[in-house]
Amino acid sequence: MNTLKNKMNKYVKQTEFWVFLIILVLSLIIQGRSGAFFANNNLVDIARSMICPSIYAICALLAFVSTGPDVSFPLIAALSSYISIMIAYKTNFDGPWFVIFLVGMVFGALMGALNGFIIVKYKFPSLIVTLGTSSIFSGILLGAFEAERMDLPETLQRFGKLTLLAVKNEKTGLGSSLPMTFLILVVLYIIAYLILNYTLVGRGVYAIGGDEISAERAGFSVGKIRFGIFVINGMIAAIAGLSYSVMSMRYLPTEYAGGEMVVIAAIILGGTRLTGGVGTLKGCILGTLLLTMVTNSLILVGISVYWQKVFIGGIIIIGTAIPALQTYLNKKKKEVKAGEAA
Amino acid sequence: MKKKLFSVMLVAAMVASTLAGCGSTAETTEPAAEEAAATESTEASSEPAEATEEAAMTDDLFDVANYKSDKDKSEWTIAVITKDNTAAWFKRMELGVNQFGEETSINVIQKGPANADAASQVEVVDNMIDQGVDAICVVPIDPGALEASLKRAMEQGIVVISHEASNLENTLFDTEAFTADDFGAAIMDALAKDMNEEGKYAMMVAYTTSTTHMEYANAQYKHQQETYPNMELINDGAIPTCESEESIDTSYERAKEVLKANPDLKGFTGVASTDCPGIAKAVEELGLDVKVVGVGTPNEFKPYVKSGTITTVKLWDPMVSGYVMCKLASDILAGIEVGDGEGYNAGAEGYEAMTLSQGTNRCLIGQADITLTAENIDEYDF
Repeated sequence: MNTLKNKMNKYVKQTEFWVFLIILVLSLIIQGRSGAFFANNNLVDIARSMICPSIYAICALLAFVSTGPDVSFPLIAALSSYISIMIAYKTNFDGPWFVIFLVGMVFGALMGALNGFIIVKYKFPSLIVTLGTSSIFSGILLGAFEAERMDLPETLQRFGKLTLLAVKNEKTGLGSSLPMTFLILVVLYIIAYLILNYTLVGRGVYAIGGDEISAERAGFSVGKIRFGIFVINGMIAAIAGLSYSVMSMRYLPTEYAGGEMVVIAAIILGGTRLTGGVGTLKGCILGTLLLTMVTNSLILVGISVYWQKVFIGGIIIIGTAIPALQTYLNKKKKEVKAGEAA
Repeated sequence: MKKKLFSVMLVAAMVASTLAGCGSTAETTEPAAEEAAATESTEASSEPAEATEEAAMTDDLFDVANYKSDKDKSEWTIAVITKDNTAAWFKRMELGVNQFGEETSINVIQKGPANADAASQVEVVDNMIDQGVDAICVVPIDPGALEASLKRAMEQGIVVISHEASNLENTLFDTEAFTADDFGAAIMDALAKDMNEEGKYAMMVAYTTSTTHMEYANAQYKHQQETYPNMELINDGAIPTCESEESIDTSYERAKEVLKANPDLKGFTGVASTDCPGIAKAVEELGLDVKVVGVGTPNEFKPYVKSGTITTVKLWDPMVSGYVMCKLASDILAGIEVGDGEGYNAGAEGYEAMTLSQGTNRCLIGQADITLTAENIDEYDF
């Protein structure tokens, strides 16, 4: 009995628990107002919409937990997918789709390495550096390469047409399908989970973000881990970028920029601390789910276009207020306890 | 040493960001070339007082009769300067310009800036002035940036004609394909025809802050209320139904939501070039029979038009716009009486009797919206 209570207490203390609660309440409200939220096709639609933001969320999480904000991932995604698609066109490549993904990852890694190099070597704030590199990448993409909307190579088109799950709503006859890219998301989260929780490097990611000096004394190589994180972020961004074009069946160069803000809001909703050292993959998924759910349900609920942004902003503020409130309450509790002891 | 490296890198970043800025303007203006045109014409008409004052001050410069050329027609050169000559939109325009050249055996050249940014375009205009061309027809990237150069051109007696620039001061005439009201009504006519004039429909724009899009949307709704009583805009006539935020993917997701919330929807319009592809994708995936009508370029919309989801595409033809600019320029050089331009006949379909809208400049507006369907879309390659 006691352990159950303890367990409950532990859950209640986690931000993720509260986000989960908000999701539950909101989904019931949406269901009540529209009657369409729990329809199978709507659930599949939300899962589909979550794919790219959730992959980006890993980038944002790794950066925040270990170093600080990374805002360059949308443009790394845009540029690396452009380059890999162009290479596929130039070489008339028609092999398996994942080769294009691998090529994209190589270029993503290079761009991430540029971030990592400047941040680690010169100890510049990651926000400034990634803002700068974003501009550079965007300049290369739209200025030097003059990227335009284009169709995808055959092999990516074939991949995009594959579906993991197709459902049809019995009542309305509306269909929906989950693309294969959902599997990529699942695989990435499993890998990230294993590395973050069961390897020394994974622990190091949290350690260097929590307290750099202690981490260094404990034997973690701060520089190497940070550099590695930005390289990996580049690779993950490339995967997200190609997944995005595979899902829209076109390469759309101007649609990437600006995606970072929603993703960052989502992971902070999910309990990631701006100050570093704290954040979970579970939180990423929940935060992204909450934001995707809200943005994709406002029309369903019948909220006017003009009010939709107000709602999304409200959810972000309420969501991020929760961890702040928690710390405040905890502090107060401690103060009370300290007072009693005295 | 390190500091030096830093500053170099910072500079590089700044340069890159400026480049990026320019790049993106070019990107967004081209596919949605519709947007600039009609907004500005209405903006312009809202401040006529100021414009007439301007005109009075520099009356000579804007007196069309002063631009009659003494040279023989065969010695004239008309330069057409575009935003970006590599874009499909302007390649299409070049066809019209060349067609004019062949018909009249007047020397015409079409040039665009090396980079699609305002400064490079100014350079091209200056080059043309120095080469001593007789007329400049320009589609400005940023009208403000061109004012000084175009003024200089006019002072040297060069005829200046513009397109999609009703807020440009230093031009003899600006030419537009249509007014926002007419275009919105034309979109509604197309949708009504495809929907058999009855049923519910929805509207998408890029942003509620996109002036042109909202004008098109309002005009659509107004025309529907006046003409098609059996049609109904969902959400009690709220304009617009949703925003695509200039993204095909967002358009797809919003369209899906609208379709889920309104299973009895029969029609959907989208006025940004990103709207219809997203809507069509959603309609096809959900397996619905919804007519999609909207604004966009033929090549991009072709797959959905062929599959029958996008039933009608509305736009104007840059080929004719190019032709009309050249024709007007040559008529002025020849000393043909055009007056203030009211009722001007440019000898091209939709431009037989252009209406004058006096604003920042003299803006001549045609009725040149074109309609693309599965039958004729192959005739347009841009």
